[in-house]
Amino acid sequence: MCDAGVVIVGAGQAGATLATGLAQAGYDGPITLIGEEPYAPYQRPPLSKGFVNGDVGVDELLIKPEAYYAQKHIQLIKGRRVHAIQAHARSVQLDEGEQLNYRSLVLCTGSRPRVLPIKSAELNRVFSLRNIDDARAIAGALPEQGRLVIIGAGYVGLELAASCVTQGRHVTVLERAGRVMERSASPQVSEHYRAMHEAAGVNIVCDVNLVELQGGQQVTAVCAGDGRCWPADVVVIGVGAVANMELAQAAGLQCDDGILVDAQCRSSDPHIYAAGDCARQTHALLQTSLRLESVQNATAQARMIVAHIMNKAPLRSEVPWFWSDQFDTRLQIAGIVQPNHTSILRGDPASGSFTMLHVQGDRLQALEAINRPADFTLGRKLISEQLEVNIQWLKDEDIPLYLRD
Amino acid sequence: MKITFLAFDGTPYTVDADEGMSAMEAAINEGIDGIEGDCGGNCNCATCHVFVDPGWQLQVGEVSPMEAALLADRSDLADNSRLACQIRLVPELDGLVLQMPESQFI
Repeated sequence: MCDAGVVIVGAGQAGATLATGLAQAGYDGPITLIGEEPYAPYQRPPLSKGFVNGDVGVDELLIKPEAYYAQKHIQLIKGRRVHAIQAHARSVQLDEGEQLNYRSLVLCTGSRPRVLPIKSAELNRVFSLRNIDDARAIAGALPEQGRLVIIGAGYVGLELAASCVTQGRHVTVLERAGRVMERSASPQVSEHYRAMHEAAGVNIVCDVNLVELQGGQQVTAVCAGDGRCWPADVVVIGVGAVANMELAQAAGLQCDDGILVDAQCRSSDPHIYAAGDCARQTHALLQTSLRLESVQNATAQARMIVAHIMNKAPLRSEVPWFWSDQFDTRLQIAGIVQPNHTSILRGDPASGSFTMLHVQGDRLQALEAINRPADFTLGRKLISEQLEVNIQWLKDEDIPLYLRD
Repeated sequence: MKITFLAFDGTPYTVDADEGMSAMEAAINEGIDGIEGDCGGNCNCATCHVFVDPGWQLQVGEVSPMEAALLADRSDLADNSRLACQIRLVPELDGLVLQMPESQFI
């Protein structure tokens, strides 16, 4: 049997950060990175923005140039899947039966779009948006002045709506909840984004109960239970994602809406780690169990695993953060907005630049900064250090959120 | 044009770059360790922090408010700190020298 090193299943942001991090840190064994897509590891955030518009090509999406992996002695296996883990034997089985042994196994299997239970979802020109091929298919199917109906007003849906309406497409966004970005944003931020999209010509419809897609071979309309229908040339469904944890479950690892991992990203098997969208971890700072789908979470968890494998000091948990670019507006979120927080407005939403601060007791827990980068970075520091805050001062735009000594 | 990245131990890595790209892209394209660029060069994450060689500070231009906010969060902030994704490579920057901070090496 050949030398067993680190085997990484999944070649997205977490897998790539882990492989390159181990190589840079001088890991002494083979590093194998296995991805099911035919591409070298690439960034997903631009898919709903510049890539779908054709402003950005595949080479610009790559996290590292493809040649980098060979230079660093990382074996990059593209277009292949791992079918099973034999945890007792410390090996994985690839399609076509090949076995790979490991000293450490890292599952970076990501997430996949949630399937919407709706009649006729199998019609042509109905897509989800997760990878390069999805983005290409959407761009290819959408005529220049075509009608795009997006189901789900989350980040993917709204970013895609902004990109496509800017390109002159007719865009409708249908949302089951009462407001856009309901799962992750405060009502004030939702309202700001609804108004921004409507001003740009996006038709936003909330509180809609969709029951079926209509069409012959190709989709022609999306219909609600109350009889309303929206004509469509292309439909994109963006109603969240589910963790790819079947491989872990079949291997007997503890899972609960994600592969359960400890503060160093170790699963219930001492030789198996998990990172990124597929992992659920109790956040050391926020003291809550989280499964996050973000670039920051993927890279932070990958770096925790590098530190653990290389016997370095454990990395401290960062405040989770996210960003979304829609039109010329940048939303930056730090922490997790919860309904039991007290919300404080800083700045004037009508100016297009304001921050929502979310406090529990006298501590800042989360913030949403809209075109306010200084509030984002300074507020994130305040959350991270859990310093006592004064509500009146938080409201005062003339006082920075954090003062250096 | 040529850009030189200095590792924190002083080792120089000189790369060929095209006019119009950012200094971050020039580093990523050549697989230079010490420039992460987690956010893809969107001025969002501050993992492409560099120190501009003192002889080049004037030529690299001004820091935007977005960039300044991200830099302010760095514990290793210095007068010559920049985010490499925000340095646009114009012909006058041929020969630019950028030092990479130790914190960006894993």
